[in-house]
Amino acid sequence: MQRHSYLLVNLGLALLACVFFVASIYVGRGGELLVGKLHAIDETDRSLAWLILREVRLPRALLGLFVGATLGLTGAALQGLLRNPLAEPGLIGASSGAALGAVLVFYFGLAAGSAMLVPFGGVVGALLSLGILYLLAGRNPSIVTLILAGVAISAFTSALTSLALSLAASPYAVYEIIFWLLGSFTDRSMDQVRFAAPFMAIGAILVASTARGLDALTLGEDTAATLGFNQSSLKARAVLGTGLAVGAAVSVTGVIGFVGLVVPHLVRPLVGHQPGRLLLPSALAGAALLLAADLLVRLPLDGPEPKLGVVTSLIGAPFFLWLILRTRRETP
Amino acid sequence: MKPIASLLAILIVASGLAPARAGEPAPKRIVSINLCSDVLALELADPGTVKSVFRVAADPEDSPVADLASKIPLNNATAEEILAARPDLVLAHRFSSPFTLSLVARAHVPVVQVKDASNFEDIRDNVRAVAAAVGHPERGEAWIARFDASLAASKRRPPAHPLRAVIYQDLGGAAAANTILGALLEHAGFENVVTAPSSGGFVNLSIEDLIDKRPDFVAVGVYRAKEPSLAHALLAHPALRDYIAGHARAVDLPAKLWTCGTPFITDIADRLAAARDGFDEPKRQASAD
Amino acid sequence: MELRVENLRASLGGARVLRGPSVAAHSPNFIGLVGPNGAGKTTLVRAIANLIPFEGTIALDGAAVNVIEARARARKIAYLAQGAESHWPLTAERLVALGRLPHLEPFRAPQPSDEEAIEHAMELADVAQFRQRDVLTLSGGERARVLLARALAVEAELLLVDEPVASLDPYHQLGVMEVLRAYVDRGRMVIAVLHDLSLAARFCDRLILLDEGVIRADGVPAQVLTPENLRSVYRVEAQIGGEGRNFFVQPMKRVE
Repeated sequence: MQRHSYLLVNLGLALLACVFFVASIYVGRGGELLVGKLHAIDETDRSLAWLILREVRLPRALLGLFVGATLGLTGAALQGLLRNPLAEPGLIGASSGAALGAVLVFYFGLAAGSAMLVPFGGVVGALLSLGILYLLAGRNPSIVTLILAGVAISAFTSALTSLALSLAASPYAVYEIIFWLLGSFTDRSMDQVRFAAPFMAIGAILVASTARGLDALTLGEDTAATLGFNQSSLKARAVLGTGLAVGAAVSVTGVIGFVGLVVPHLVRPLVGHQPGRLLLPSALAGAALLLAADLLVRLPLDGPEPKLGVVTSLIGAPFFLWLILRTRRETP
Repeated sequence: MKPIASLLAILIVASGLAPARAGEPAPKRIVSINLCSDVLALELADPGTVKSVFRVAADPEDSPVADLASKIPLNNATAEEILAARPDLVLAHRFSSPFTLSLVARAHVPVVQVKDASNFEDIRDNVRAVAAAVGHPERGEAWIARFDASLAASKRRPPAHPLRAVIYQDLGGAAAANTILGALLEHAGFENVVTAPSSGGFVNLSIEDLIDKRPDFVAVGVYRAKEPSLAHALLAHPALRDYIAGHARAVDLPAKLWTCGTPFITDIADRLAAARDGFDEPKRQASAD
Repeated sequence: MELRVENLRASLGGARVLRGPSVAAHSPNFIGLVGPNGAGKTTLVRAIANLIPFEGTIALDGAAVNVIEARARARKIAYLAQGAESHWPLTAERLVALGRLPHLEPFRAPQPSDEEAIEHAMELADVAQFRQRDVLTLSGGERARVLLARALAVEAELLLVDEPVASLDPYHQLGVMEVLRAYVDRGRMVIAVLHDLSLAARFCDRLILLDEGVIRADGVPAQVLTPENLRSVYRVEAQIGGEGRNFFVQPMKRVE
C-alpha cells in the first residue's frame, strides 16, 4: 500500500512537471500562447513560430526541467547527508562558489571555446566551496555552524564574483553581476543546454547512487558504517555529484536560491522523511516548481523580465524564516 | 542598457554659467569629464588647451577621437582631479554627477554641460555650445555645415513597401524612435519596428520578441565584441542567427560611433544608407559589412 | 558461529585503551561485557564492529573482520550504538526496515524475506503496534525498543549492543533484556555492554569483566561477580545473593 502511494506521488509530480514543461514552451511574454502561430496559414509565420519554439522556448524549458531537478535532488541529498533540514546548495555556498568559478572562466578564460569550459569552472567552484564548508563546519555540524559557515562562504564568493566582474574587461560587468547572483533562463540557447546537461546527468546519477546510504545515515555515521556503507565513498559521491550538477546548472543560469531548501520540505508530507525516498520526488517537484516560477516571471508585459532568483527568493526566504522558527521551537 | 543610453545622450546645456562670449579670451586650460564632451572639445578647441579628458576618450573601442586624446592626461571625473588641473573651463554632460559639478562651481570654474542628443538638432546645439565655450564659434558652424552635407547625402526616401528595421543592442535592447539611432533609421528610409518612445532610449526586447516583430533589417549595436560578456553571448543565440540568415539582412554598428550623439554619427548614417540601397538591388549578398 | 578475539590492542586519542584481551566464543551465547567506566568496553565492541582501527585479531568463523567485504560484514554483525537515535521522524516500520539495507541488492526492491525479517524483529521487540507511528513521538522506552528491532532485523549472527538499558525504567529494562535473551535463544550471539550487574548476571550466559583494557574475569556470572572482583575492580562493597535468574548484586558502599 505504501509503495503504491509512493508511486502515485511520483507519477503526480512527474505529470505536474510535464504540464509546466509544456506550458513553458507554449506560454510567452504576458501569458500569450504560441499555439495560434504554429497553425498559421502563412508559411513564414509558421516557420518562425517553430524557430522560436525550437531555439528559444525549448532550451529554456529544458533548463527549467534540468536545473529544477538538480536543485531539488541536491537539496534533498544534502539535507540527508548533513542530517540537517536547513541544508541546500545555495545556503551552504555551493551555488555562489559555482558562480564564481563560472565567472572566472567566462570572463578570464581563453577566448576560444571557453563557453564550453564554463561548466567546468562552475563545477570546480562548487566543489571548492563544499570543501571549504567541510573544513569550516567539520563532521556532524550543528545547524548554527552549518548556516554560519554557509553564509560566510556565500558572502565571500559573491563578493569575489562581483570583484571579478568589476575587474573584467566586459563592458556590461555591472549588469551581469545581477545575472550571476540572481539567476535567469531568459534567452539561453540549446548550446548552453548541451554544455551543462552531461554534468547535471552525471551529478544526478552520483547523487542518486547514495540513496540507501543516506537512509542508513538516519541512524548516524557509525551505524551506517555497520550497515555496510563506506562513509568516505558515500560522502565523496554525494559531494562530487552535488558539485557537478549544481556547478553546471549555475554556470548556465546563475544562482537560483532556495529551491533546494523548499522542495524537500514540500515533499516530506507526501512521502515521509526517509532521505533516500525523498530524492526522486524532490527532483520532480524541483523541476515543476522552477518551471512554474519561470512562467511567473514572464507575466509582466513591459520592461525586462524579473530575474528568476528574485521570484524563488521571494517564495523561499519567508519559508526559510518559518523553518528556522519551527526548528527553534522544537529544539529549545 | 541605461548607461549606454545615458552616454548616448549628451548634451550641452549652458549650465547657469554663461559660455564664453566673443571678445573674452579663449580658455587655455580645459578639462572635460565625459566622453561626449571630450569628442567635441578635442575637435573644436585649440591644440594644447585641452588639459585632461575622461578615461575612455583614449580607447579606440570607445572613442572616435582616440588618436587626438592619446597624449592628453586622463581623468576619472572626480572633483579632486579636475581642480588639481586648475581649469578655466570644465566640460561635462548633463548626466555628470551633480555633486562633482557643485564642487567645481564652488571653485568658481565655469562649467558647460552637453545634453543628451536624441535628434540631429540636439547635435547641432551641442556643437555650437562647445564651440562657443572654447572660443571658436566659427569652427562649430563649419563642422555643422559638413555634418549637414553628409546627412543630406545619406538621406533615403522610404520605399513604397515599408522596410521594417530594428537596431538591436547586445544587452537585449532595441533603439526607440525618440533616440538618435531611431532618427538615423528613419533618415535612411527604414521603418523602426519599435514604435513606442522610451525614456531610457532603449526598449527591452527578448530574442523572441524581436523575431515576433519580423524585421527585414537588423542593425546590431556592438560594443567591445572581442571581450567576453553575456551580452555578446546573446547576439550569438542560434535563434537570432537563424532568423537573420533566413529572413533579414544585418549590419554591425560599432558603439563608438553612436554612444555619443556627435557629428560622427554620419558614419552610422552612411552604413544604414548603404544597407538600405542593398534592398533595391534584388537578392544579392545579404548584409553590408 | 565462532568469534575469536586475540591479543587485541587499540588506542583512542593516543591513549592505549585495550591492552591485549582475548575472547573465544560460540553461538548461541549471551555475553555481558561489564567493568567500570573507562575500562574499554565500548572500544572493544566498536573494534569488533570494525568501527575503529586495531591491532591483533578479530575473526568470525576464521575470517578477519577487517578483511571481510563491508556488506558481507554488515550481514554478519549488527551494532546498536549507545544512545542511538533517529535523525529523521521516520515511522517505526521504516526505521526497522533500515536493518535490511545490507541484504538489499542494488536496484532491487526489498524481497519477501526482507518483509518477513522486519515483521519478526518488530514482533520480537514488541513494537508492531507502533508500526505507523513517528518514532520521535514515542516515549524513550518505546523508541529504544524500535531501535533495537532495527538491529534485530539485520538477522546478524552477532549482535553488538552498547548499554541498551541505560536511561530506561525497570519495566523497559526487563523488556529489552528479554528481547536480547530471545534473540540468543534463536541460536545467535549477543555481546552487550552493561552497567546493571544484576540484570547482566540474570540474563547473560557469560560475563567478561574488563578493567583498564584487560580482562580481569571471564566466566559464568557467579564466577565473575565475586565480592573480591567487585572490590578490586569496581571498588565497592556489595551484597550478592540469589542464584541463576534470581541472582542479584547490590552495591552498598565505596571502598576507601
